[in-house]
Amino acid sequence: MLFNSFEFIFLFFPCTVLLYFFFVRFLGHEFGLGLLVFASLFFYAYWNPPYIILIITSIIVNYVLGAWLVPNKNRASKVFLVLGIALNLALLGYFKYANFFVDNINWAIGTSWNLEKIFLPLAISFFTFQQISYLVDSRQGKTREYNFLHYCLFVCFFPQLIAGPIVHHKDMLPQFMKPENLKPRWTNFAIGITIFAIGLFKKTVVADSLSVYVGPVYDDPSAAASLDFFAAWGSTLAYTFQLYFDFSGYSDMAIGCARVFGIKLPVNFFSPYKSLSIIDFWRRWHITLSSFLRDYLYIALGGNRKGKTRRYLNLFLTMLLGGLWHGAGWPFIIWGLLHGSFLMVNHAWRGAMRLAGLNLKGNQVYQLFSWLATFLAVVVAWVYFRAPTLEQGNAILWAMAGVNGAQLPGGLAAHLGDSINVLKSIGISVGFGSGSLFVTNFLWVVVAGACTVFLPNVAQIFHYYEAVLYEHESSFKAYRECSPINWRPSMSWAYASALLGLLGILTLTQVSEFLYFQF
Amino acid sequence: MLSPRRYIFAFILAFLGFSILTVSLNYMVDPYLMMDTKRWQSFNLHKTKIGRHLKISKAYHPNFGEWDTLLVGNSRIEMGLNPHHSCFLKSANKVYNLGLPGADVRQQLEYALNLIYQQPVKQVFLSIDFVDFLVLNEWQAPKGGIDLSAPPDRLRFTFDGSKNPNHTWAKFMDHYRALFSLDALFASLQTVALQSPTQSDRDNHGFNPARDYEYGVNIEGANAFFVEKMSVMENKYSKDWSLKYNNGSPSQSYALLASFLEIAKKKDIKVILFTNPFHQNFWDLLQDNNLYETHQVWLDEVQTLISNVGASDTSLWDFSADSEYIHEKVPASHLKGNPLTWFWEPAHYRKELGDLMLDRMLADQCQTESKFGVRLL
Repeated sequence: MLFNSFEFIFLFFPCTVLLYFFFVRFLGHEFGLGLLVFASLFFYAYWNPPYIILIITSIIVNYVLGAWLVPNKNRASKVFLVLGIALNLALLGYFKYANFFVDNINWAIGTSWNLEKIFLPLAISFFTFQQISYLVDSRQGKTREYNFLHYCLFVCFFPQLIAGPIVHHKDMLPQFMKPENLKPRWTNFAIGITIFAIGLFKKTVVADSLSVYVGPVYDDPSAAASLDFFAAWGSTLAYTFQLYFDFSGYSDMAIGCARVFGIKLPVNFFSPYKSLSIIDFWRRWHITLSSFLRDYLYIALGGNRKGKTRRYLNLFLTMLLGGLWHGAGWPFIIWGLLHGSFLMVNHAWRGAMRLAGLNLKGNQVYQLFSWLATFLAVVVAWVYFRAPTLEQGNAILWAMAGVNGAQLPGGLAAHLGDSINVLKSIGISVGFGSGSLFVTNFLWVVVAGACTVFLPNVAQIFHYYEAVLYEHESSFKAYRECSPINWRPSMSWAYASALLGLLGILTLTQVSEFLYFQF
Repeated sequence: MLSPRRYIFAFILAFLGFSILTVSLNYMVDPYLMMDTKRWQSFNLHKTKIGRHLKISKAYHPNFGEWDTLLVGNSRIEMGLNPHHSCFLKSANKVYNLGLPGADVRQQLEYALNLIYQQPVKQVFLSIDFVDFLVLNEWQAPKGGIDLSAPPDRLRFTFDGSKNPNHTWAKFMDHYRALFSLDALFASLQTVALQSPTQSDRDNHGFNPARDYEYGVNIEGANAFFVEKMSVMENKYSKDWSLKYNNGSPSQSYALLASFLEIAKKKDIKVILFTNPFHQNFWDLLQDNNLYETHQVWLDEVQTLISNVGASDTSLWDFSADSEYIHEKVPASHLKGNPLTWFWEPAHYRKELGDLMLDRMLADQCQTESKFGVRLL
């Protein structure tokens, strides 16, 4: 079920909220939690009922393994941990990577093995990671024994089930037990529906409007060869902002839904396009995935404990696998490799600056340069993230470099009068079309870009009402309290959020899935 | 500051208030011409954002009037044949232009029949385009022939006159979207903001006055329109087109046309078929792609088809033949605001040429002097 659908907004969600608090009050807390588990499984099964068997099996197996690991710290438990992780990765590997693996074997050794197309079950990448973290923490003694119902809820709580934020058991389970969350609270309702309205607007109005300019370039293999500079940049920038508004919109909606139940989810985005370095970017983009990769992969590989060379190698490998997590395809691997390389360069640069005794953090020109370099690196990498094939990604990047020339639509050029001659003298030619698509493409990009750079994020806007969980008390502390816009239950906020919510509702007749559902 | 409880009530009330405003605005502006709301100067007189919604508009809007004459075809008809032509006015005909941009033969005929089953239609001017009968050589013929009872998207009646079971739901959803969707809201706001004579429009008889073409020619010049259209058509017609599918069976457009003529004959409706004029550049393009002879074959086959139906009240006019009008020179690229007299671009003729066509086809009704075109049947 999609958050941006009639059935979710007007039926599933209100009914679940009402029944949950009714059950908690009249039947008891555990019945309430049971209802949430049932509702979450229904929410999942609505998309493709047979896959519910998969998630239930995965939950049972991991719960049993985890329950065994908690009190047992002997050598055999290590075997069980490895077995548990292997089972999870095998499940993910079969559904996500089997086709990719067979295709590449065929290509490499000239065989023609045939494997039926395997469809990726929704959310498998997310619930697998959550459960691996549970198993590892169980072995390390960081978990206590949860009952099965509570464990189910940790894995499949519907607001975060499909596309995160990836939650940690230590963050989630205690919240369901808090007495103050067992009663409906108007404050939670007010915060929840407002954040949901903002997320719905971000996804359905901004991201979906930007998507119009992405498909014609990225979904048409024949388009890339004749792509010009402006079309390539227009489309890639549109995708850059579409992805952010789509995914952060989804995260906001998840945060809003969970808050109605009194549950705070972890922050997943913190204005990533304001980043002044790639290191900074990965602290702000898909934060819960970055934390998972850091805690369970980078540190497991040795982190920075084995010297600089190993640290860089670990970083590189972590990002490479992070790329592969997003999808089974060479473009995702290249995307991961690029970000791994960017991070290595970034760390090396910082090291060099430290050695040279340079501190330019207060220098505005340096900051502007840093922002521009970071943004450019991120945009270039997004090309491979979105391109269906490496060849198409390369062709789009060449076009962005101006190899195919630059062209203005005839209708637009006609409005420029004699200035068109100046543009022609620098190699910009005049093509066909009225130019209305060209203008709206760049208009949307500018507006969306300005919003990402100049407006505060949801975590900042709701700072005084603790909308999200932070990993550390100090996370983003310097930014949290400096928002020029702060939510409070006022009439103007009620009007503004009602308007945003309505604009989102107005799009519900257009079916539009979230981009991160494919991962 | 409000209490959280009052905040939620304010939110809900504001949501409902904004919703009512949205529906009211969309109804009053009627950007897709579906509700037949009154047109107001400087507000919603010109339907400037209707361009991509004509199949919705023309499924519902004609039902607000009563028509005895239909002009049927694609975008050429929509902007070429004027339902307010003097001969129609003299004969007191109530004419609706059902031209549908981008529609194939089946859609054109389905829309026409949908009105015929509901309205007292007496005559139909039916444009037949050679290019609508072409199929790619690799295409397979539809299995099991043509299903005339297959429900169309949103029309009340199917091709063969049975009621479309999907109509009520489709109508509800179309109206819902026209009143309560973001697209409609944007379209309404843009319609109000862009009430200038340079924008696209449709009148209450379904006619496209081609004001956006006129504006484009003024700004970019007719040459740009010709070059752009030729580029698109060169790409299209360089493929392997034919009048037959890969198994040798003819394009299904023939059977659809024959079925339409049979229905019209049964309903005693006069059908005036005609071919459209194209600029010489188009014919040169067909020649270059070895399609010119195919066009002649098609014209012969269409005549045979019409004769076989044997309707006495059916005529066929050919405006695609060589004539003085199609050789007009295209202005140089630097000349702006210098439209051709008869064509917007190679595939779309202007109303002025459409008037000559109607003069000829309606000669027995209002004694006009036009010699353009040839009556084949």
